[in-house]
Amino acid sequence: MTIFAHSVGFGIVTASIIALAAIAFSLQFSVTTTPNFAHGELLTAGAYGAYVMQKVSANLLLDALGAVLFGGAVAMILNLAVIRPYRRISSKRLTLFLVTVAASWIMQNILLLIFGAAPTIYRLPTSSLHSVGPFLWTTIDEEIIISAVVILALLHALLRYTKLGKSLRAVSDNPELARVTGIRYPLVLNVTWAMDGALAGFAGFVLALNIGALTPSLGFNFLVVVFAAAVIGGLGHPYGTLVGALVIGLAMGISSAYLPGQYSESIAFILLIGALLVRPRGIFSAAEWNMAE
Amino acid sequence: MSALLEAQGVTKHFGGVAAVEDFSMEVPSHSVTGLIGPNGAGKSTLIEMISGSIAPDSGIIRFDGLEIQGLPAHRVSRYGLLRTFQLAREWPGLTVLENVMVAALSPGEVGLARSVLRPRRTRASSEDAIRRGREALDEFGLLHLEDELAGRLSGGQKRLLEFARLVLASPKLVLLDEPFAGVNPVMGAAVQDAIRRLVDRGIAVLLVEHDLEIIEALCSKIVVMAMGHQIAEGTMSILRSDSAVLEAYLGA
Amino acid sequence: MSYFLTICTFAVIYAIACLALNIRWGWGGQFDFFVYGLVALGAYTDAVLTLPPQPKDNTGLTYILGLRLPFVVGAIGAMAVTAAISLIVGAIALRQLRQIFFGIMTFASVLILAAVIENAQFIVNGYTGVYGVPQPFAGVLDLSFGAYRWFFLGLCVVVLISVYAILQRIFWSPAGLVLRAVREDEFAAAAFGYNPYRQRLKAYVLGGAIAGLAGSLLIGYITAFNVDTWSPIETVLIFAAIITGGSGNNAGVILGSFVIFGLITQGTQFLPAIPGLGGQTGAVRAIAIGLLTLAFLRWRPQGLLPERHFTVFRRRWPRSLLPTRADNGAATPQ
Repeated sequence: MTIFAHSVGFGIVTASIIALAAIAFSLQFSVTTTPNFAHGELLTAGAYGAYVMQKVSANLLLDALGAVLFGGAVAMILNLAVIRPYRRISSKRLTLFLVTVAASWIMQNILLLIFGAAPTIYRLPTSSLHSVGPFLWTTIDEEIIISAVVILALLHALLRYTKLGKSLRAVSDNPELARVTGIRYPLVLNVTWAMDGALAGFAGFVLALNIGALTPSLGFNFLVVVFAAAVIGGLGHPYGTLVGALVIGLAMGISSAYLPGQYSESIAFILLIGALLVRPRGIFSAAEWNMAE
Repeated sequence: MSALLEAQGVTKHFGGVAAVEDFSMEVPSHSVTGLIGPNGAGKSTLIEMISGSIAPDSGIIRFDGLEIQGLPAHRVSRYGLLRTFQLAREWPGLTVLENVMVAALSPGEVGLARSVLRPRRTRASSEDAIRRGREALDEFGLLHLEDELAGRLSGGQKRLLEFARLVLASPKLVLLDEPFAGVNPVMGAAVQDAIRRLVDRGIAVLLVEHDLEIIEALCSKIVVMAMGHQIAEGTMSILRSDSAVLEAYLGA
Repeated sequence: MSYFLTICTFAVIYAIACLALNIRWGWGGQFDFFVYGLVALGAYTDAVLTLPPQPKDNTGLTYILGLRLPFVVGAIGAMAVTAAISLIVGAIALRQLRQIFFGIMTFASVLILAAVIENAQFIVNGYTGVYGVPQPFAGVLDLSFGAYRWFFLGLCVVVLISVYAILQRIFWSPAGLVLRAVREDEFAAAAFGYNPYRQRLKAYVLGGAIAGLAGSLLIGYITAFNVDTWSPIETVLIFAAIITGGSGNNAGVILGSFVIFGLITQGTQFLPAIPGLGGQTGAVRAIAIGLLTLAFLRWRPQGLLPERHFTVFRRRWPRSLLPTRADNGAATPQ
């Protein structure tokens, strides 16, 4: 029973990381409707941003800040330099998807050029394992979970109670109407991308803490897991994505205890495929399949 | 003689709201039947159910003796029931000629293996489709546009292209979903003419339309729909004095 | 010269894979990551069919089958396996998934395939992969090393031309026309009696078979294959080729393959000389290809060779010479 409890504990840590990355994606997608295949690279950017900061100072908080800033910056650049120009000339989502695929590839290779292919060791602060109830966590694990909860709570507050949050929700609900009622659409888009990058950057930072080493494909390898959570919860429904993240995280944590090595990641793939087949629109979406799509 | 198309007790709810409620009607062959009603009456949903895009919650739809409710759109089309869409739906990346060719072909001719293993028969099929396609284009005055990409046509031309395609597919019944929407008077006359030509060919028409003058000019029988069910049917003169119809259009 | 030969051979083999992907993308409008997985499957299938039985000693090389069959059987087997897998994946994915969901699904499928192959060592030796695959017809013909390479290139070119010819015949036939109609507007196609799902599935299986053929040629050339060689990102290369060449047009696709796999690889040969880049030519090459793809998507999305040349078009569809029935009675000349 303890093994199970421990695996659930690990699953919660994984779910926290997934939640941060997947909710960033869902939020961005619901507002901008751009399927961003380069999302993983935002995580990677954050992780490397933290690594660079680490060269300067050993303060974990500053490293996190570096991740957030770098992730946000990369997201803004992605939007301005890559996505916006193509959005103007083609409204087909598939074209934008393809563009982000190319962007993802380019970014990975840029990182490869700068940092090399060998895994970059991220200096982990010392931490020890200890029991918290039935779970077995390190201090870092706890910090990950707590920071995830805090950040998501802040995000929720922002979406619910601030003017900015209301604008975001309005645009995601009905962009035409939002534009007409005076919401500054380009500003909302830019802010969304910045938030997406910041959140994803932090997720990448936390992922690097969890793994301990960085490679240019760090975020990319995590992408399927993120997609799985986002699809299960409903592409573009940030709150549903939270549930999706929990499902995937727990599934991965538990299966890693009972299945050999790589298969636990495959659980995420299988869940993703299952979700795509059974309910592509996600758990929380009651909308009928739009025939005119 | 029983009707070509029959609906009996057709019902469809969308999340608690009844779009179509216990709807029944009969559409005879060899004529134009009109379907009118105020906005939100459920006409579009009904059309979707007849053509196979949506399945009704309950009720029967019978076409030429066969029960077709719940069948997918491509099956319903094969039985000879075709439809147009509110926005003319051509294949924009194909040329006008290619558009009509698709309609002129029959299912047995489009096999993948056949195109590789039976080149001569495939070529014969293509030539036949081209010949019949060009005849139809000529009839509707579109032949000079045959090599133009269909997406570049004007709205009215796309409507006529739709008719050309319908004619080639040799249907028994055609559902026309507001074909006069957004069409100028000159083109409107051409569309009326096209509808008459369909009937001349023995094709029955179910015409959904808002313009009552056009309905009166073309239809021998009119069905009135409001709030999901049929509230009256008959000729225009009968309907004009029907209190239920007046209330539906003028009331609430 | 030998380097040029290598580039050409790779470009030709990849051109075949590009044609396979183009069936999904240019004809079907679907973004499919699984193509390269099918190429890999084709390669592995050919390997296990043409290799001799697994060596009994403990060299660590494990794989199933090993029937020592000739290349032609290996290639046909590869095509059969990839067609079957395409049928399964397509039947599931095409039933309800569109566009990005389809892309995500195929993306996940490749990763699952990779995971299975890596972990189930007994199938094709896991991560290390197989090697020592016999070269096509090498035993039958007794050619010198250099001559054989020319022969192999010729073989690939013959296959490429055959595939191209068959695809062209399909494109300019009722079957191809209906496929394009389904791509343009599947609801209208359904309204005219064509089942979009079935049409797409047919095209999908065809593409899968061709991808498998490319895979069998690929492994026949490199004689080894492992998981490192393939990942969803490889598919990006093939997409880059299709986009630069022109996805509407199979000749364009082949051209694009030569541009990406030939020109770019050749063009970046001088890079190691630039100080500071070290051994990262691969990354620079990749960035160049990525930027080229973005550039084409932005300024010339139809590619180098667009879908139709109007001058050629009139000769494409067989037209009878019968005059049309013009209203004024005069015959309209062709």
